[in-house]
Amino acid sequence: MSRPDDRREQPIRAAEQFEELFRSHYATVVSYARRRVPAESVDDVVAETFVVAWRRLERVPAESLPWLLAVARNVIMAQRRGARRRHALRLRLQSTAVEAVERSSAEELGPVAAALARLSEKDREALTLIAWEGLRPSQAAAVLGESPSTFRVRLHRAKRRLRRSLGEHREQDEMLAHCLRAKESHLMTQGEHPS
Amino acid sequence: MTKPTPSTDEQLFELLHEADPLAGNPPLAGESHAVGIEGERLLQHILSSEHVISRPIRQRARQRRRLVLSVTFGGGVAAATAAALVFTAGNAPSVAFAGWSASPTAPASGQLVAAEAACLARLPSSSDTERARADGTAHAPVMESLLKIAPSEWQVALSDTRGSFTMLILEAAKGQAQATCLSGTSPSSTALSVGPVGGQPSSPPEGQATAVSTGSQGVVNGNAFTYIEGRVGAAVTGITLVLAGGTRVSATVANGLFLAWWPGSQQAISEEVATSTGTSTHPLGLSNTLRIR
Repeated sequence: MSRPDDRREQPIRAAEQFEELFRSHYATVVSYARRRVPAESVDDVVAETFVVAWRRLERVPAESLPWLLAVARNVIMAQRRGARRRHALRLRLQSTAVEAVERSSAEELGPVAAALARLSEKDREALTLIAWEGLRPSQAAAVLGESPSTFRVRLHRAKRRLRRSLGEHREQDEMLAHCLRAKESHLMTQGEHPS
Repeated sequence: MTKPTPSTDEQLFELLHEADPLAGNPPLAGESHAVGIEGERLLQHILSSEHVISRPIRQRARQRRRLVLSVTFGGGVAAATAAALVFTAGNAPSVAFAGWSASPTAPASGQLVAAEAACLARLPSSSDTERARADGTAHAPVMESLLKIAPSEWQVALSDTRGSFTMLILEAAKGQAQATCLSGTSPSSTALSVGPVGGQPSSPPEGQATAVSTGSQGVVNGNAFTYIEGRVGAAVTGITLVLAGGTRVSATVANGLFLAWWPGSQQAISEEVATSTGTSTHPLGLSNTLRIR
């Protein structure tokens, strides 16, 4: 049977539980945010994520990292929605690193990042949660709020779409390179130097 | 030169690793195993903040004019079996802690009786329990166990008056259930935390004090307050808390208990325990709050 002192120790135990949660996953949450939001927003995302965890400590499951990353993802999405509503013109500046990929040329970002950006947000998350955050598929499924079987299908399709996107990108690159070579060859025969 | 399209998962994930925005970047301070200065600052900031049990907005709106189960001890919330709850009144006007002083003041005529009545009125009711059950909160079993205690069983174990507000420690079921309540000039300016049934409380050794709740926080009509309470050995004659800002707050010491509260959310960083043979000072912190001598 618990004692009154035990009851009063609960806040202390909760603080210790939260501190352990924080120290275990702070680095991962920071990295997750850094990969997805601009540097100036990282602190806000991390702080809000852990404030939510503190307030809902009793709801944090034993496997807490997917839960935390799901919260961080929601915070980021809410941040994006708010930014869209309030500052449509500034959205480009406030967008996340991955979103920024969508608006930048493949030459600037690299073909893989550009191909990633062409995927849906959930497909992109399915791939990057595993590749970048190192989660197991079951953990990544929890982040996205999907069942493991649904996630398996999503992951399979996301990989296929990424491959297709990379292939199309490669074909476009090769076609562009072919055109440039042809133009260069034509100019050389005309006695001009390509600019 | 463009790489060939990856044909295997391994090749695909190798490409993804290379595209990691953090690949090749030196980790920030927060990314090492230690959380770094920023992380420590955030951690301490969150731990010192009020711990609010959030409720779905839809339900909150529906119950706006009813008692709102909203706040619990600032030090943290508990697991399902031993949660402590605070009930605050709804949209009552904001009040300040009028007349608060760093030392307890004598209660005005009828002040203690009014505070006790207001606190008893804040004890969980069957409708609170039903609501907690409907919300699926972890507190429902605790509230159900408290409902079994008749209001007449609750007795004032210690009172601490500062100006127009009085904080009470109420005990019931032979000390197995406890409630801490701050009450002001009206029933609406009352906040109560109540804990589950437990065993008989233990007293600390003579000349020592055991804080069983430090830096706990609550809200009355939007005004935050912080309090500390605990048990003292028979030889303890007084306890003074030193807050982070340097304010010294004298606790009420009686009946083997001590209690002090102050407006705001400042934490107590040390306490001085006075006995007939002298005074000893002990630091207080979240990690060592349970045994401060």
